[in-house]
Amino acid sequence: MSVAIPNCGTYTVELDYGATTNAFLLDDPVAGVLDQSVYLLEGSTDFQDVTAFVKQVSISRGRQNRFRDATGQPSTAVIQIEDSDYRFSLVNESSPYWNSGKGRLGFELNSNVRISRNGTYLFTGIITQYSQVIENPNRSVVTINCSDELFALNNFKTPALTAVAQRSDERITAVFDEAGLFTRPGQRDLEQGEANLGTAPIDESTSVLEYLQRVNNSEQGRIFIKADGTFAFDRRLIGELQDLDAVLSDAGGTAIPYSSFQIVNN
Amino acid sequence: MAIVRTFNTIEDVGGIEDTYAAPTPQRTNEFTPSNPSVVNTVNVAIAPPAPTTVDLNTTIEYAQAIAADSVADFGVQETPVVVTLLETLDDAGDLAEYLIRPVPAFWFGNIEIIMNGLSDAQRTVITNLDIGSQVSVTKSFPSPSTPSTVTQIMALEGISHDITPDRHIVTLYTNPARIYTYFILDTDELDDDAKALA
Repeated sequence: MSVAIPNCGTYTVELDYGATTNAFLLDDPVAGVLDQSVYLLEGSTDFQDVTAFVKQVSISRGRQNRFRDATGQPSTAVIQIEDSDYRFSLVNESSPYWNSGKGRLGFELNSNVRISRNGTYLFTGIITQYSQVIENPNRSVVTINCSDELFALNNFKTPALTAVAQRSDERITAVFDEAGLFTRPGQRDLEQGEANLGTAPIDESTSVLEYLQRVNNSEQGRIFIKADGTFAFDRRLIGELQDLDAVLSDAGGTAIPYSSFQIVNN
Repeated sequence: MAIVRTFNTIEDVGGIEDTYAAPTPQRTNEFTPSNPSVVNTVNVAIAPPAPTTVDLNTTIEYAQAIAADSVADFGVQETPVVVTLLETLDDAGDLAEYLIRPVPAFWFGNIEIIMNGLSDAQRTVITNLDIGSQVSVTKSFPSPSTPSTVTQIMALEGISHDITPDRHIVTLYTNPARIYTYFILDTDELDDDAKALA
């Protein structure tokens, strides 16, 4: 059940129980049988609202300083859960989240995660680490570390492609198309790049993420996953006409007040 | 500040890695300098052809951009030669000029906002911000500080949220932007570099 934070909004933390519990597994005697309707390719999402049990959420997306920090680093989220009845425990077989088919908790590595405020996503990603600490006599705290889908791109090798002269965004499109990544409508948001790439051969020994970073080394724009899970590529900053998305000020009125800031001298 | 662009070559002793524009343990192949405050000499290479049995050591061609005035003020602040996937030396020269930072910059960054203290509309605006969003930040300073008000327009490079059962703090990591906002007749002034016509 979503939770309202006073004078902040309504927040929802969801963990996907479905994708890991009904995904088709090649050669598996149960989950790998063809012509059945229970086990599906990639599984089907079955998000469980766990907000009521959450003690704290920290989300860190993007980078702090574009002159110093590389872009294309996965964003992270840490969810801390006060697990008073052990429903999130790794050993509780009567947990409502227990995957009896696999004999382990349904929330595990690569399970989908969504965090939202008033229906707008603040983070979308996957579980990268799930740990539980128990203090005697019976206090259990579960910490769930998450990353966005950039993290998963480490697990895909760059596909075999013959490089042709094309813009940076076109190269990213070609790699994703060949690798079958972000193929659903609306999953990519690519700006037209400024960098013209040549025919240097594509290094198939690298991960897709590493190759994207090489592409961006030529562009010097941004690679990131948006809060809603969309892959985004921004070209290098050129003079552009653009509206402001927010006006912050200490002068009152309709401007948004801030509590502090730092004058970065760099 | 004038930037001079030249084209140069070096012998490729890296071998096949350079053909792929690949980082190695010895050479990270990144522009990030040890001190990013000022960068007045930037070297951008294009990937060389793969070595052959006839020619083991190919040649790396690179463009170099130098901001001479900045070199005079701060000494040489140089990036390594970074091998990119760019097509031509002209492309490499464009990137080298883009990466020049002739003088140190300062900006309003790490802006902390407490969501509890905002109106519903303001909270919605903050919630909808994402990497790449453009924001303006205004700070008023007490007399005799001059100017009394400073406004900066910046791009969001990062954002963090710290959420507990009773509060939500958002931190915006802003960096200087190269954007223009719309010129408003009878409001904005001429010769303002941050304003443009559609």
